[in-house]
Amino acid sequence: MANDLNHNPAEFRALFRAHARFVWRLARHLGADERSLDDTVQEVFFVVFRRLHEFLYKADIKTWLYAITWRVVHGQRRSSRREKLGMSGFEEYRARGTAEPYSRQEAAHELMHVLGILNEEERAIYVFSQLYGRTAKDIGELLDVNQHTVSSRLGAARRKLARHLGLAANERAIVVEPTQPEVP
Amino acid sequence: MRSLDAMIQADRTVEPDLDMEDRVWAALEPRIAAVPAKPGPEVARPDLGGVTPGKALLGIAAVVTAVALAVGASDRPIAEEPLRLMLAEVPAPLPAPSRVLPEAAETIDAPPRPEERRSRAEARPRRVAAARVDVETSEFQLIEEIRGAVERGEMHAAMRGISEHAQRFGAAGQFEQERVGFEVDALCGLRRVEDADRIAGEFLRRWPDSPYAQRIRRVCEPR
Repeated sequence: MANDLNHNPAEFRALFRAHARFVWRLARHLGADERSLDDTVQEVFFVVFRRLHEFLYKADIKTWLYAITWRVVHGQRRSSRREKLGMSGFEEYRARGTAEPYSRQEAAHELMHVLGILNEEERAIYVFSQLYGRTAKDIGELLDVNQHTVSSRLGAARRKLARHLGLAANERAIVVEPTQPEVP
Repeated sequence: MRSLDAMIQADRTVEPDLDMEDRVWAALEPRIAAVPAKPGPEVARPDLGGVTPGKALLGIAAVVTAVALAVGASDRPIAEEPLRLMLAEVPAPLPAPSRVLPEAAETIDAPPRPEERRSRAEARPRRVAAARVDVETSEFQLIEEIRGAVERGEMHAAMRGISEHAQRFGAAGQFEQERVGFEVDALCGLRRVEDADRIAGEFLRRWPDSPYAQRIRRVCEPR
């Protein structure tokens, strides 16, 4: 059976429209180069298009997008050694000090820099778990590792983040700046 | 007080610019136009009653979008969904907890190769690391058991697991937020709404920017 989406760009375009922003955010969280996120999103959907005939409609399309986005970002990072850029970005942020007002934009950028201290697998596990709420079983399947590995890597990621920000590993609220308003 | 959770909260406001989709599509369209159509998989497809697989796929996307809209989540970044997502899938039965992970056991038990021999002082941190992994794994398994009980509606069993977690790991646990979140769920399931509200209030005071906060605020609402 020929794949309808392969023959119908309009339908594929609707699929793209429905998920492009999700893929953009996910790619960014997984460590794709922020200067070329457009290219990453394009590459993800190109892979989606080429592999639609393999999609058996058994899974949530988003689960499939998680896996493809992870692989695309992983490939890009491996070829461009983005980890070093992430580290230098964080060091640059810290070097600027905390005198200027701490805007939400800065906080968001800081998150990317902080995540840059993790290795690729730890970062992916932390992001899938803490930002996207995926279960250990999901994550294990996405990354092709067992659940114990997911658990230990998540613990390692938390400890690294805590250590980097100067707090105990079990401190969930990692302090880096003065008071923020409480959410009502 | 700024926290990693606050960074995550702030990150939710980061969106691509409005033209991103147009730019990417403009670059993508000629690429996909050049791809020859491929045959579908050699598997039997269910009778979709005239619905093409393409339409079915778009239907999935539409349902996802509709559900997101129904819960007011369409504009909400994904980070507010975690606990709901955690609850959305029944986990496979957990294996019997092993005292030490295979990789950790290997670290402890395998005789050192000549080139890897270390002094006792050097080896000690590895044993400590292995023990820490062991603790994390057992805590994680307990949390997964609690999650499974909540998903199956076995709230009394969930509460027993929650008590055990609190006793064994307390506030030092890596998954304390998850435990407290599941406690709110279980209390709601047991119709102990006042207790659930109280625990939910404590949760939100301790972790106002938690990715679970949105879920905790709504957990006892009628569905």
